[in-house]
Amino acid sequence: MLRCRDIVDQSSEFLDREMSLSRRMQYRIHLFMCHHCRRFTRQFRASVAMTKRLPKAPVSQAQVDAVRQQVDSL
Amino acid sequence: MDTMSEIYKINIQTQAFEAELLPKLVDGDKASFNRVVEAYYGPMLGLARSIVGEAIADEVVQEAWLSVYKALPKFEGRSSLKTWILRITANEAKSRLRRESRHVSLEAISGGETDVLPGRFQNNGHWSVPPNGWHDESPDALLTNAEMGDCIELTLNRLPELQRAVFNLKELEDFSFEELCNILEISASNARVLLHRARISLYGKIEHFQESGEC
Repeated sequence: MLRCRDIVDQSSEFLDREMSLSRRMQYRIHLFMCHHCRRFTRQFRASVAMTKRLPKAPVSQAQVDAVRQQVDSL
Repeated sequence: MDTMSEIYKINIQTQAFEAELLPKLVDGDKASFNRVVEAYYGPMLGLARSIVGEAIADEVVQEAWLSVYKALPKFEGRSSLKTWILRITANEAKSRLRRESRHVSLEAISGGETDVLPGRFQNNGHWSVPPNGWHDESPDALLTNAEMGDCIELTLNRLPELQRAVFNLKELEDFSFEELCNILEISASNARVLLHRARISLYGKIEHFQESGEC
């Protein structure tokens, strides 16, 4: 029987669908019975989706040109 | 279009881009090299930042490009060009990190053994401090809060280097575990643990911000 702590420990595997069917069923059974873990899983899913959309490192043309100049001088 | 279709489409575009340029690159064609620099500078900078920090990331990327240019004739095509270039970047960044802080261990840059959500569980494994409700749990609503966005970025920058690197490659650059393990030279099980720790740290910070309005 999974504990709430196990739900948190395995939440990335659950989210990324990297669990066997039987483990996924056990996970879902716990969620069915535990509203705290249902809330955690919902919020965890939202926070992962949000952080996936964080802006990437901006690149300036000067940085790209600096590489070109170095390579041209070789 | 769903996320998987989007990733598939991007992978196909990357393959076509590299297939067109590779023969010219191996022959030392500088115009083709410039196109690759434009395409991959961003992912390299993101990766270098996650390992060595903002201050010297650009320097590391510049050094990595020189290594890439010199090594291109020896590129064997065992991985995609992008994966190969990022692996060179990661190696440059890691050796730079070792030079800067002489006794840095893999354990230290991985974050070691840390408890997820410390103090939140009873001894029997049930919640002692369960999560509270958030004002709005949709990713879009979370994103619209600029202060929280800054707070997340700050938290991300404070994660141990390897956690940040895995997070950057998996979540922001959409690499598969296989590719990111190839780039960072770590095992798949280690990569999964590091990604999970990074996600839980960020979740903990978002939760704290939702409850207190502070970072």
